[in-house]
Amino acid sequence: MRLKILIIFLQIAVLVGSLALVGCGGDPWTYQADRELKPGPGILSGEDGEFTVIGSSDQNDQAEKQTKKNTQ
Amino acid sequence: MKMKRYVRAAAVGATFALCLTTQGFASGSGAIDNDMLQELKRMIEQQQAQIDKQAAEIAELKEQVAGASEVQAVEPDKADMVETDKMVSSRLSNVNLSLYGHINKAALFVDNGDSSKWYFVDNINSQTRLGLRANVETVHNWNVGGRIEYGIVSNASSDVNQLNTHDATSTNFKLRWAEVSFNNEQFGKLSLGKGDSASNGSSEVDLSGTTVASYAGYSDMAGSALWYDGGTGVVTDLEIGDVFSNFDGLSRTDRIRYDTPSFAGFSVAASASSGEAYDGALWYSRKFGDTKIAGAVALANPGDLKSVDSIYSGSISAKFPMGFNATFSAGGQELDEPGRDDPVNWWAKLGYQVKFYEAATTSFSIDYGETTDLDQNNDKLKSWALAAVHNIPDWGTELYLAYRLHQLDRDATDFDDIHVFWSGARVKF
Repeated sequence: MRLKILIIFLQIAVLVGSLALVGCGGDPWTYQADRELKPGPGILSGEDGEFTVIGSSDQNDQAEKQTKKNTQ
Repeated sequence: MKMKRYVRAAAVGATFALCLTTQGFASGSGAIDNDMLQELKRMIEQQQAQIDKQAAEIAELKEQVAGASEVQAVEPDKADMVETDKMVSSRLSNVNLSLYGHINKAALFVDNGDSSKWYFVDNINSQTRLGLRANVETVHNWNVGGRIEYGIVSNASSDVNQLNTHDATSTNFKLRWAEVSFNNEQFGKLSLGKGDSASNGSSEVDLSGTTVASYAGYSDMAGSALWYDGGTGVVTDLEIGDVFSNFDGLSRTDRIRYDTPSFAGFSVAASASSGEAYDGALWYSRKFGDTKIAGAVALANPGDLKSVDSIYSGSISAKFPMGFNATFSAGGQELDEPGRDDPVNWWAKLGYQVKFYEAATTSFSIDYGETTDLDQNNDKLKSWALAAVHNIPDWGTELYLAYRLHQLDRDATDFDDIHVFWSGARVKF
């Protein structure tokens, strides 16, 4: 059974690893799991999708982008 | 006589001459008056035009003055509003604090072969939540951040079952995030507190757009539903969640976590959690034209958190330009129990996204997966699902429905299939 796990794991690793070979192509894009807070507008908060309590929404966007850039 | 004739002729001539002269004078004076009249008329018309123009200017100025007065009268109100809006403020200019969340409720139908019931639940695929996110820019491009998030859940979809139909969730407020972080574009991100372990989500990467209705962790839909043994006619205490897992790493833990900066779409994460648990993951996301690809692989040592040696997990998802998408997930764990086979899970999804009208996107998906040997050797859970999600971004709203079938094969047991359907809405506020 360990072999079975290892094979499946390796298959995914190979898939992801093969992406590394073409990784230098393409454009940056950050995956966001939409089971978390779905990207996009909110019904009350509008385009930002979040209420800005302090600061400007632009600053929030920039900070968020940097955070996401570094987390995934 | 001649003299008289001369005098008479002279008088008549003089009179005639006088008449002529008088007429001539009269005729010359009339020409002058006409010119003057014309000139005067022209001047009057010119002056009238000037007066009209000035009157129009005065009227315009009056309007402007009146408008300015109204603005002055309104401005204090606006100022009051601004002051009212800023109930919370900071003396620092580079501080940001935002409030976010969504509500996700559904009507859930479960039929286990013995009975069928409707439940009104919180959808645990993406549970109702409320959070605060803070960030401050400091020196040398370092950002110090914090995040606090609570799940606010009543009657969780993964808690209800035939015996537990209402108030099924004992803890309505559940802490999901409470962390501080130090983030730098060049050096990466360090996080401390409760939040995602490095491996959390590694088997759940999904670009289908239907995750709110159906995703790799499908026991969130009705994980506590009880299997009915049709052979003996007994509703067992075995739940769907007992025989299914997507082995998604260590979930959210109290941990210290480090994420490298992204390089060509890749980043590495590692975390150490309370309970002597450790995990690491490789994350990837990149766009090739209109094709998006994301994936992850992870390895976790759960320490005291779970009674297993190690957990493997991974997933990959691709979304193609025409709206088609494909997702694959797999995972397993090594058990530290003699005679027990190591459980394994795999799951795959095909999806399609289409815009029936400009303001919304509709996503469809079909998925199938199997989990083997989780509760006991030779168990095999098979499950497939159909899902549709109608996303209306301007409303921050998704409307969804999904049907899922669960089948469990176990030695010497004849479990009936469990049919599950739900429909609901997730509204981001």
